[in-house]
Amino acid sequence: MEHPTSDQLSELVIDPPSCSDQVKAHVPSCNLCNTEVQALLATAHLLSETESIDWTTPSPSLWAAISEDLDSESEQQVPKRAPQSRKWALSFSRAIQIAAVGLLIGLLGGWVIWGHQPVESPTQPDTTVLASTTLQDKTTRNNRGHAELVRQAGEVRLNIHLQGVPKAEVLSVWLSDPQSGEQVQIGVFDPNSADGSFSVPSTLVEDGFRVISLSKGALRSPTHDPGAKLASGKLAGIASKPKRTKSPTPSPSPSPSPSHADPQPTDRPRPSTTPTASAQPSATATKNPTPQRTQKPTTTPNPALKHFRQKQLRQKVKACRAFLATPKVGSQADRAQRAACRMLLQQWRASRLATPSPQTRILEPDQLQPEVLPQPSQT
Amino acid sequence: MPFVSADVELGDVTELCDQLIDGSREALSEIYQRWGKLIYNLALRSLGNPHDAEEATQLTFLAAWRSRHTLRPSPAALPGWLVGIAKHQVIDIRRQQQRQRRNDLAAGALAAVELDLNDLALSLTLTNELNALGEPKATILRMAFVEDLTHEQISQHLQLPLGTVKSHLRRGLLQLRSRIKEVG
Repeated sequence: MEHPTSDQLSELVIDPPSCSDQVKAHVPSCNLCNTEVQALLATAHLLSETESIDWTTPSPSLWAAISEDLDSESEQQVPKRAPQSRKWALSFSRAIQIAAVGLLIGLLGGWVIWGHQPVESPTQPDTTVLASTTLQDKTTRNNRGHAELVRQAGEVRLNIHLQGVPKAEVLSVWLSDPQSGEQVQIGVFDPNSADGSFSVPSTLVEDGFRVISLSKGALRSPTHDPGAKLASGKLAGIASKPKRTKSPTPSPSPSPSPSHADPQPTDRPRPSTTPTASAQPSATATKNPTPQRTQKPTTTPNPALKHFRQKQLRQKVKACRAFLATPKVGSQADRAQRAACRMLLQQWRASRLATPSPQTRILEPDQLQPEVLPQPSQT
Repeated sequence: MPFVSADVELGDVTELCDQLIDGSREALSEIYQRWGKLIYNLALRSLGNPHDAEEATQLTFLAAWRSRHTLRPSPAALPGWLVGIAKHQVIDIRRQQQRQRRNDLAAGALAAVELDLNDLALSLTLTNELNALGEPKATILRMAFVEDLTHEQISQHLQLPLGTVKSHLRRGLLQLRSRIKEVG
């Protein structure tokens, strides 16, 4: 059948019994629709955990201050001309005329000498390219796209343009540190778009996460599942922070947060943990799931890495709970995913019940079968 | 119970984006009216004091004005774009605070701050967008998901046909999902 409408997919989440059998049969076998349903489920789940928020109203003078800043900024950009004497104005005007003629001659001369060069598209204001790389399929050596790390409006983003990648394939984007072998998932491509733009914590790049990998599927790590790896490339030319050295004796975690010792299951799952299918016409519509670690570090763990792992574990637990709450489809894949989810939840509960002691460790996400999350079935 | 729909039309937001990109100060003012409170509350909860929160909000809207050319006009992109700018302003202010204390935040701690900020931004944006859905959609969604009432109970309570309740739920969920997908 054709893809169901958004309304029908929403109905599947809101009111499964009313949903047509055709839609119910289609969704598990379609990556795109499954992805959308997972995102809607995650939104519904997040909504169910929404607390009532006491909004604080900003001071009325705040907009006045912003407005004033904008005024002064525009005045600086277009300086008001001070009253000038006629004589000075004439000489200034003549100087401008001479400069313009000189510039015209220079431009014409340049054009004659060097010929016509293609005009490059202007860079967007406030955008600085920090590094770039070509994404290459390591098996076939085919070029699969191009990636640019840019600073845009104070934010570090990874912009990727894909080439020759089949449409409707869910692709996830990972950054890895070649020295420690750790990986972070930074986003999932919109299956309908060849362009993606992902927000990247600048601290990660500075910490050495320079290798970009594209993998098939929403959550398939290229390390755990090399078959899923589609292409990769290394960003070059970024200043590094000095790496931490491995301490000879293991020391306790620098500053374990309360959530570390006792991860709160009330943390919300984020829709971003599931791939998204954009409803936007824009070709660059993408999603940034929370970075997810998948491999055990070989160097002294960074507090940020621990935080990522805890986050990942909590997200997996939430995603599993949300998945188990969905209607059973009855397929073998569905049964296997449910069993895997139940196992993860069991291990999670066991780890929560364990009394923390110097000998007791909270299970790390990569010890809890990183690939147990429900995957959109590969069609 | 009579309801007045205050739904923010999607086309309206797209037009607002276009006007902003064209350099309309009125559009920025309208955007401040709609999302200023969200940005201020995000900053207030992250930075902990009204002074810094006002500074972050001010810097966010100034940065939004300066980088308006980077906005892709779509209703889903606008809140995500603003929240993205706000998060970076908050991080920058926190970094400055640490520098002033001559105690630079470790990269890890900053990344952790970013992650907490992402959760907070998602939660606040969802609540803000839920309120912006207008009535009766917002109330129906709250009753269904927060109070966990059945569709029939909502229908009886609000004296609305069951089909209308389901329709509001379907569309409301789609709208929310669309509006928060760029946040995070």
